[in-house]
Amino acid sequence: MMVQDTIVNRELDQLKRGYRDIHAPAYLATRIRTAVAGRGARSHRWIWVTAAAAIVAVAWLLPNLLQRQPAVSPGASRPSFSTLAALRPATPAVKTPGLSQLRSVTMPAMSPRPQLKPHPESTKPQTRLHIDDAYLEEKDHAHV
Amino acid sequence: MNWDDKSDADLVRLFKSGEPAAFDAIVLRFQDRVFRLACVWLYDEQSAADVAQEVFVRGYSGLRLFRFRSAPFTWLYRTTKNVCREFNRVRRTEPLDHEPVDTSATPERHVANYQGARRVRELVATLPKRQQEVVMLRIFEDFSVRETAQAMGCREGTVKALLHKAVKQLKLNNDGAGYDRE
Repeated sequence: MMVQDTIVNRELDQLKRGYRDIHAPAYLATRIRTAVAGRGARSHRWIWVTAAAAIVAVAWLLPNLLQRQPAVSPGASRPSFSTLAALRPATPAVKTPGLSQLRSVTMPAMSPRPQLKPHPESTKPQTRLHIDDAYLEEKDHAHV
Repeated sequence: MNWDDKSDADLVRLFKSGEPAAFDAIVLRFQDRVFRLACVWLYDEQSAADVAQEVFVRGYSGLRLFRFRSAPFTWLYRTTKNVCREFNRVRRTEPLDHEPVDTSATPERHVANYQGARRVRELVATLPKRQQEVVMLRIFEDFSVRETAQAMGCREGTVKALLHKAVKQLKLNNDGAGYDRE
């Protein structure tokens, strides 16, 4: 086992030495410098150009959009919550009368209460002795 | 200014404070390490140089926002890994005939780089992905356990366990290869 470990370690050391012997080509640093300079300058220009284009586009589009907005049919657009909250039910134009006005209202006089005419025999119906015969007749219309 | 005396963090701090020469020092200090990692992951030197360039270009904007939660090279390592992954993904869709050939490096240097990278690649290729990463960082890049954990985004205990398994696997591979060196 020890021999195996030694062999593996020796092998790894040898490989490590070979690996460490790999060097970047001499031109690489110059190439990187050139690439960084080119990329850096280009990226800045790209940002400025994009920003300017965006500002111009917004400045050109915004008035057009604002002009077109009324042309849109009212049914298509939904009212916002703030608009809905601002809405109030229409109040009646008639002014509510004050309490003093209510008290001063004069009501028309009521007609006199109707009085029953006194019966020739008795004023009380239950004491009347005269009963119509028609009430005593048997009614059989319910059995027809 | 003597850049060699400065620590990695100091270089980044100077770069952040608006010292453009500090970035050149960062490139010179880390370019070999980034290039090596890319060589192992990408199979050819030209692609490794392209990746190293892209890593430092990203580093130019990324290190300005560096918050020193880890070592600067940990950040560069992660970027290298991401760029290599993107590069491999793009390359998978391209035909191999279109790969550029590097003619600027000397043939000897090219062969040495190629051999070194190939042997490391062959060694780690037998391991699972996470173990490959641990071996690359801990053994070949001499990262501490803590730095390795930060670079891999895991706990230190996980790094130790992965390294243990990786070394065990390498020993088994060595056995299977039938080495007879006594």
